[in-house]
Amino acid sequence: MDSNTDHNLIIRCREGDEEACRLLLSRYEAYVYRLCLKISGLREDALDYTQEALVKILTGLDNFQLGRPFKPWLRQVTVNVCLNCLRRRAPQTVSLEQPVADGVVLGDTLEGSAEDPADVAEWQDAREVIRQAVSRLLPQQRLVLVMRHQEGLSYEEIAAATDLPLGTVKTYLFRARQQLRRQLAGVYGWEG
Amino acid sequence: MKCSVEALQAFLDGELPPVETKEIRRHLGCCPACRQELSRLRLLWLELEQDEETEAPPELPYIRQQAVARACAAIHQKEGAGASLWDAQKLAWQPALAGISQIPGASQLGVLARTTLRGLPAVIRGVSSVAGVINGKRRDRR
Repeated sequence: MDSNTDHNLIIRCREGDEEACRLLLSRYEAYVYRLCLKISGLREDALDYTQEALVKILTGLDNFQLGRPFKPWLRQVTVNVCLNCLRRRAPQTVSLEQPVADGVVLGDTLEGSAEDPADVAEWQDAREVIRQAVSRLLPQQRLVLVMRHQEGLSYEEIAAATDLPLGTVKTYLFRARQQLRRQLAGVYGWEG
Repeated sequence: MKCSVEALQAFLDGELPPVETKEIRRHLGCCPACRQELSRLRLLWLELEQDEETEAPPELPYIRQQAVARACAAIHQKEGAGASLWDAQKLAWQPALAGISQIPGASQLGVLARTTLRGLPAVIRGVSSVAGVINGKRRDRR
């Protein structure tokens, strides 16, 4: 029997076996980093969050129930770390996504915003436009978007993973997609 | 049913209850504007679900090593904290145990008790004989 299964490595990690810790992390660190990058939107932040998440994963293994799937537990720990880091970090700028009225965000009230196709100097690839627009979303909106579209979680699973009320998850998702949809409208010249 | 972008999003997410799913399908059958919006949203979904292959950063092995060092230190500290508490308790009790063994007579208590008990009848005999002598003298005076 393979002695390096996740199950066996986790048992050895709990005993403080450094080699087992290294081996276990090497299997999941790239996934953890990509998740942190999608949530934070910044490479440097993602590296910090990754290290914090890897430490929490190893020190929290006592709370993992052996026999259950490891990746969802690991994702939960990573999301918690990202959320804590995002909460600690006070917003440095006012987001154009800040709601000012029901269904209206601050960006909607500005004239000549970058969404106006006339202001766009040259055509950009839709994927790049979306990527940039995602990076400008509020961190929590970006988080629920990643949970839904990259991790494939249901609304209820997102609420459980992020500790946000179900209604808030739906609102964040709706507003984030509306914002992105407007960006796509700029790229494709859609009306309305 | 009224046109609703929110409902269209939930429909695409597969989060609508069966009754509402049926309603929205019926609505889509007769509303070109919602059909158009749905196809636009589908395009957005496609973009969002693209799994961009982000290259693993070269710092990852270093970050892993740092994380392992921090985590193992924390694990050993936790284990050590348990052991040192026990050690501290043992150390705390040691002077007390050593002190008890040094109390003068602590080890001689048994000897003392044996000696006393052995000597007690003689003492009693001595006392009673003295008492007898005193009482005899009193009787003689009378």
